[in-house]
Amino acid sequence: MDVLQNLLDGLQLALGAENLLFVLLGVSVGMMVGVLPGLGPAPTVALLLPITFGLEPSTAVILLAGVYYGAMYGGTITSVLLRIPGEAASVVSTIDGHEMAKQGQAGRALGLAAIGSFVGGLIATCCLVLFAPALADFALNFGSPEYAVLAFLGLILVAYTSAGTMAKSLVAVGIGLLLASIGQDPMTGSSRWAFGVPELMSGIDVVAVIMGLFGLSEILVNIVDNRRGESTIRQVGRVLPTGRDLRDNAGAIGRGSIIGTGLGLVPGGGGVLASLVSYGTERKVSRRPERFGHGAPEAVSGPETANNAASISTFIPLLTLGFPPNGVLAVIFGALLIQGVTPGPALISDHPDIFWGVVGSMVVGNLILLIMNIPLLPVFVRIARIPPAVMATLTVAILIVGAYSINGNTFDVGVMVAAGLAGYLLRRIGVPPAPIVLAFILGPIFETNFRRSLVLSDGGFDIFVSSPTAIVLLVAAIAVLVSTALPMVRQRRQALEAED
Amino acid sequence: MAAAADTTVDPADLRFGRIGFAVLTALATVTTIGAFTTLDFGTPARPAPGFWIGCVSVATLMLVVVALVNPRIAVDGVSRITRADAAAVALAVPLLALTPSLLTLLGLTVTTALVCLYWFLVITRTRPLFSVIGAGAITAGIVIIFIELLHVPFPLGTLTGIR
Repeated sequence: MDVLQNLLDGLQLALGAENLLFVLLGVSVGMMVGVLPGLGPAPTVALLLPITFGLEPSTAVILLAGVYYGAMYGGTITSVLLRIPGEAASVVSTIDGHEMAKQGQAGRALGLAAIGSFVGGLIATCCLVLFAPALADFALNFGSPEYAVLAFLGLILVAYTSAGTMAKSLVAVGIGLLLASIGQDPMTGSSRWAFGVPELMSGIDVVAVIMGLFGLSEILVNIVDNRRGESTIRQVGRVLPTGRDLRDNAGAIGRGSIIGTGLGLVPGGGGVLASLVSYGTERKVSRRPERFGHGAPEAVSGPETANNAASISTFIPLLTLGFPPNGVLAVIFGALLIQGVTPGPALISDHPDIFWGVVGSMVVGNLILLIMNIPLLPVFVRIARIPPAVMATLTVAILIVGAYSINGNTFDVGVMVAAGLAGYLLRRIGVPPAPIVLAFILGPIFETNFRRSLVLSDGGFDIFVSSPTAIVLLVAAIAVLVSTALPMVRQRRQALEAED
Repeated sequence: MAAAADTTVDPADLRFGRIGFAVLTALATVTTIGAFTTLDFGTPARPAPGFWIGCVSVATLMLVVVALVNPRIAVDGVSRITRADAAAVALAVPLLALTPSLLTLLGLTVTTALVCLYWFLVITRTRPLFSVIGAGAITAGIVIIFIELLHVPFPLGTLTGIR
């Protein structure tokens, strides 16, 4: 009863005129940020930080949280229409979402993603209310070995879910891990492979790499095709999903909600890992997995549900433990500190207005996004009708400006261009770009926890099987590897038998 | 199945894939040698900055070699670069390489306009009038969104004196 009463109080707080205005402002800015490649949620939340100084602490967090989950909705739009992920968590939707767009089903893909995101957001909010303390306790039990094994599992899943052979995807993972290691050593702080370039001392910016590998390489791959004066996407199709669509995708949305809510608690993983695991799960449970990569609707609805659910559940470690799991939450952590509020276990009892106000705003914000999304989708899908020559030129301009906006320097523009050219050449030889980016994100987490574990165990690798959680995660990773290798072994044996 | 797959391998695709992976093998070899010669490896009990990079570069090198020597892997997903593609990309590379310097010298507005005009006229071969109108419209949109609405602090161009 207490929970229900607190939730009602939170909703009442969120529906107050001022808070409602800031929810609307937050999700609108978030949507815009999601649609514009380059200007991701983290820099936008940081840019908005000065605005929050004069606001109540709960209103400040409501505004910044709205930007975050609003960006999760918006990121899908460019992924589906342009094959450019607005932010990293929408990478997976570039595969089947864009294929659906090419088949004249852009509206259907975006409609399913919007409804899935709403359901995922709502379910994650319910979990935030009901299970926050217990789930946070579970995540709290993770030590370095568990994090290292979890990152390993994440990378194996990244390779497993990518297009093409596992070997080429693992090559891409290796490239991503090596790129992530440029800059400061996370344990000793010493410089690695900076070659005396000051900008490289702090490492390569992931957003610039994402923009180059996905955005610019896509433009270069289609450089001749883009000379056409007319769009190949002639039909965008209906926007509202049918009852059958919803029935067919209900399982994917349900599974995406659970996966997203669970993985949102994992530091570093968040929306990116959730959408990847959801994609892999949907392909695994599908009766027709061969459709994946060619425009399977559940390959869009599941991951999009998962990334939005994850963006909500990432607030659990922040609001209950004072532990920001990713960059955006770190900025929100800073916003609370500026307001004189220290996030941690005492926050719910000391500042119930903040915790329950944010929870209430998530319900209201997700509803606003759904209401905004459905009628506005036809506006967004019209982008698909713009001639390729115009779209390519516009994209190049946005990529340049977006890369510059990350840190306000031209070095990031150079990184974006280099990543774009490298991505173009790698794609031509069949190395997919997605695992590079995702390994780049997971790399520092993997390295830090891997090395820390080895130090703790005095060099003993048995530390990675020292707890039930680590064992379960390691077995899962090995199972994925074995499930990939077995068909190849079987095929080889059949070929040898045929030769005999 | 495997035999059938092998018979469908296009020799030109295989050659292209192998050239690509030969280049990657060379890069991975240089990276591995660089990791072991320029960085301290440490021991498993006391891993130094080169420990992680050394492990990852060796694993990557092994995977690249596997892809190079296995025809089915080397050819998977390969999409050869045509003469037309190469010519268009060759025209785009100088512009893209110059863009960071142009931003510093000319500022965002002029650079965006020039990049758009070049991309329309040279890369996508759009008619000149449409190219000028398109470049102007895109530049105006970028300036309104990024400079006027989002207040992204773009620096003044050192030659033009404008953002």
